[in-house]
Amino acid sequence: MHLLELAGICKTYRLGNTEIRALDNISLSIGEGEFVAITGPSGSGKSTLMHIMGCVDTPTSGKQFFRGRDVSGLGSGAVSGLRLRQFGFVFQQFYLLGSLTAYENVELPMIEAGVGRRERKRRVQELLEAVGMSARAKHRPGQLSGGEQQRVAIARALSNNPSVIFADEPTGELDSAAGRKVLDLLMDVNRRYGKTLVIVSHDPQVTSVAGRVIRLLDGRLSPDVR
Amino acid sequence: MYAKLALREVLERRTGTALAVLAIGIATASLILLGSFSLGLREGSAALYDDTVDYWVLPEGGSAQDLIVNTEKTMLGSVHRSTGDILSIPGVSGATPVLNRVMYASKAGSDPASIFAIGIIPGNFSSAPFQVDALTPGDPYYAGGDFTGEVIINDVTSGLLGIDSGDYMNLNSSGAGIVSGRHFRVVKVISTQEYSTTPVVVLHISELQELTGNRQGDRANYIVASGKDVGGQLRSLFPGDTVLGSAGYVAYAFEKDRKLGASGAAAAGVSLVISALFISTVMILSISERQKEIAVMRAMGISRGSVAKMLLFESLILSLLGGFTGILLSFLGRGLIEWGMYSLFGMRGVASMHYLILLFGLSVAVIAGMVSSIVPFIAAERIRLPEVLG
Repeated sequence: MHLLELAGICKTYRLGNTEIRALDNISLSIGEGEFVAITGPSGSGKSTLMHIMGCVDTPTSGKQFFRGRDVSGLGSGAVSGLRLRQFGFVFQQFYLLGSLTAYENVELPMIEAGVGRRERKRRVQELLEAVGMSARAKHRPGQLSGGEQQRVAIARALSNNPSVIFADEPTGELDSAAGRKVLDLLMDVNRRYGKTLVIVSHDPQVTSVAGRVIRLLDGRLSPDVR
Repeated sequence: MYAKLALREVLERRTGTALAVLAIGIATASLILLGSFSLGLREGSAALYDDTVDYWVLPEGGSAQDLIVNTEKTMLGSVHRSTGDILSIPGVSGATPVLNRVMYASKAGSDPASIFAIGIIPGNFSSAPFQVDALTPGDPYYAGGDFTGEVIINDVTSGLLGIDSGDYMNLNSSGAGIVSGRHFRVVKVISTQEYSTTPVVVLHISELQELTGNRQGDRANYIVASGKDVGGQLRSLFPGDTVLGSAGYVAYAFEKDRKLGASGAAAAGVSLVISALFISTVMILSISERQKEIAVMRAMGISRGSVAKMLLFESLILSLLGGFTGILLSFLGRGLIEWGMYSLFGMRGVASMHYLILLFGLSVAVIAGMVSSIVPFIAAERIRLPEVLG
């Protein structure tokens, strides 16, 4: 059984009278523990595909499955629960909550998931340690560099021990050294913890290390899939 | 965590928070002050009410409102004779004409202050609201005797003028003529703290008539009487006037309470709307600035309920801050108004702060906070995650 499976996914938008087809009949499957890079030119539908895989967006047509279960028609509450417990998200612009400390940012999804205080504390410390941010746990995002914020965001994505990490251009806002560190960290998450990693990226560094590369062109899967 | 998050968001949006808190504070303070004035009016008028009064005889065209608001437009004439007629009715146990006027009073060498003067016939009416047995019974001056110059004051007047039992005070219908006004001796100071904060003086009606120019025609505002089942006889005695029985008075009191209640409800409604509008506006502005943050929270799996909880906390924090600011502002406002009323009219105790009114003001602010969290929640629900997350 595949971890994620998309079958005939289409996504269209309306822009005035024009219909834009962002994704056109995408069918693919991703296995447990895979490291998949989604690449393609701007506007090719990479982020849309990732949003649909992560249940942040809904397809216009087609089916999607998580561990064999059809999640296309799930209600808002069930989808929230799925995102909370099974998916972790890392964004290009980090998107940490500015009024919370690094520690609290990592802790928040656990609170939502109902993890007990003691267990939360242990896991937050462990995760911040793992991303090399334990010394800056009490700092707010505004007091951290871009690379540091992204490392906290990775710890946050891992907080509820998800099955999949979705990362949208995670190195896009970072200089090459910081970008390399973040990429190493994500690869470590994939290798050491066996988490499935789906990264949308233009970065050749990312595509060169990914186990599989999915290339999108005009909303369609390009034949040169590795 | 959501409460902490909400508190930090509110504290970090300094300008927006300050504006909302101030606006809610002003709305709450207005509500509290209006309530306080209503209560002050009730307490002030309470000096005139007494459960043992069975009948009120009001002049033709008069209304129950005249019981507390004295007017020159309609008055009863020949009230001593009429009162004598009432007392001759079998079953009537007491009756007195009542003349109400705002007068100027002062202690020698002091500035005049406005006080509420009530002229009655002591001894004719055993259950008068004020215990007036210290005054010489009857109305000697009316009967051709000497001007007694006796007054009973309440503790508010005593404090206002700085006089006590045995002291003398001047009383006149205008502040300018106070020095040449009549001198009166305080024969008793009574406590009205439980039901009135209005400065009151009670004296023989004919002496008040003399001071106010109502002696000619022997005029008074109304006559009160006690007795059982004498309404019909009173009505036949005063065919052109208004005779209110207990039921009429109860209806009047109910109507008055209803009007006060309606005023309070209207003020509460306005306060609620103003507060809710400000909270909603500040929250919607905040949400438009934090669209990405909220979208990320939702993407992470934070439920709608938790987002709603966070927004509710933010609204409640704003409304509580506004409510407490309103209480502080209302004390400040009350102080300013009391100072102004005393400076201009020599009146004190026009507003009465009661903890229930303060609690009501705070409750209205909190309800506004709860109500207004709905609008930002709808705004947060409209955020399209894929569009905001890019």
